[in-house]
Amino acid sequence: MQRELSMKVIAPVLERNREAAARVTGFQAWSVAQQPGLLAMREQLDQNSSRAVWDLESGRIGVTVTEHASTAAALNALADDLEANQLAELPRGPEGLGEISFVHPPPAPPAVFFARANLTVAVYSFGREPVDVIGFAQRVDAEISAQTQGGGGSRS
Amino acid sequence: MQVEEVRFNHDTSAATNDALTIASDGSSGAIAAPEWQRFPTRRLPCAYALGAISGAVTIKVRFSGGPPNATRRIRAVDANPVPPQQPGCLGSIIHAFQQWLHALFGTVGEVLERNVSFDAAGNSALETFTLNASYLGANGVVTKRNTVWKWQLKSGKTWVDFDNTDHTMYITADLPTAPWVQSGTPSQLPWATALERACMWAIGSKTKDEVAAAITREVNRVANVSYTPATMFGFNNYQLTSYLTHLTGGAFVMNCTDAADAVTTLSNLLGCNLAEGRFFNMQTRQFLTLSGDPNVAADWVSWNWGYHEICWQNDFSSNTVWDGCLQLDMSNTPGVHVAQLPVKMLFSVPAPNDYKTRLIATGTGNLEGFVRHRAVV
Repeated sequence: MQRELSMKVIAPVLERNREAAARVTGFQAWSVAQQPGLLAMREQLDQNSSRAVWDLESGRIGVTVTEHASTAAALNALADDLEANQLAELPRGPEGLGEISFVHPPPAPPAVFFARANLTVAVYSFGREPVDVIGFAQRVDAEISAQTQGGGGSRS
Repeated sequence: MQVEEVRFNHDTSAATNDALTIASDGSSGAIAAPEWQRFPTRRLPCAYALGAISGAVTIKVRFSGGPPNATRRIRAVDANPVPPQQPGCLGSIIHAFQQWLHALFGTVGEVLERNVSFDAAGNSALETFTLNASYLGANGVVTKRNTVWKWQLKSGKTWVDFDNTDHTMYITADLPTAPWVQSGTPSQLPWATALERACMWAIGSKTKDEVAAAITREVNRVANVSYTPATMFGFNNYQLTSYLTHLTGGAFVMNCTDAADAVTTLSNLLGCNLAEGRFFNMQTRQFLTLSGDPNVAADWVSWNWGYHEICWQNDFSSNTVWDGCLQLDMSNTPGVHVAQLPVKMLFSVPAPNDYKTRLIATGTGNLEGFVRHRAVV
């Protein structure tokens, strides 16, 4: 998704959060309290980015969490992530998920991408078998919100 | 008498007569010779680039326990040669199979004999030996070899065994190219972990085209992978460590950027000259999805893509591409599919069977301004 397209949607949220000081530190992909299944893999992708994969009863779910300097930086990084997505357009995700969120439209394998505080989060159906990702993404978002310090973030 | 150490990469400035400079992985730094050492025990792999070798390949070896202040003639032979052929048809078949296994995986060759002098304590200097290794020359192919040498010294007219050493050797088609380096950033030296995967995927290849074709095919046919439009292994860097880990794990997903990175990075590790390059804005024709089964209707898909990324020979000007992410439909008959993996295809002639014509139903497919070699992490 071209950056110009995603930024049309992200820019107003970015404007509202330009001075936001909301911050979460050390939140790893696997540090979710309510695990969705059996933790199958955890990876430190780089100093600020981690990925976890869980085996569900059927299918797998994967989460990538990346820490940025600020909410504004996270929103910009979300646009970068969407730019590295092949789909021409990604629709908005559920209201209230992250500062803003985007999802894969059917028939693409389910995935949701959002920014909350200074984090970008992606939750994927991580195998051939499609798995719903929204419910788990909302739980991750709630945990991040609970750990957020400094305030200033906006619920859209 | 015993071997104390063997050095394969004894000249880090070149790979014409010795091994490449490699690393165990992205965080290890360069593997420094000796790759084999008796004490403390050290067993590290080495790698040779067939296309870079010119003239005799040499190793350096040091011995202990020799005769004080004396000289001995020393050599090493293949400790696991092909057994003699047994009589009969079955014997002939088994022998051919054993020769084939040896040609692919066996000891790289012999260490030619030479005189070695020992000091008063029975220790030698680091001595240079020349290899008689046809598998590093005309008979060479991309592979991972397990070389086991039986070291012998000459006593009268007979050769007497005195030690064995074993060595893991990766054989590439040519010098690794970008993002890989032979000097400079240590994290971009060829990783043994990546050589392990790439050499087995391209095993038996003699030419760079064969390497690129084999790697493209293997990336496309990984059994536990399926397609997602999101980039999973990094866009600014290529998270090769993660990809290699997922290959040996459970189900995972990736997109075209990940496939282009895998094909480019692993092919170039073996000496190819590919680069990742994107083109934009297309509604595709139906194609066979990543790791898809051509006989399953649901695996023939089409997408509205903002971009697609594939591998190019050198850069866009070559007009020659590889794509490990999909297989094109070459059929002109409605309802009938003919899958073809894009391997060294012309991108745009334009002609009915070029890559662009077969992939794009509508849209511009305009090229990005540059190609990439993403650094590996």
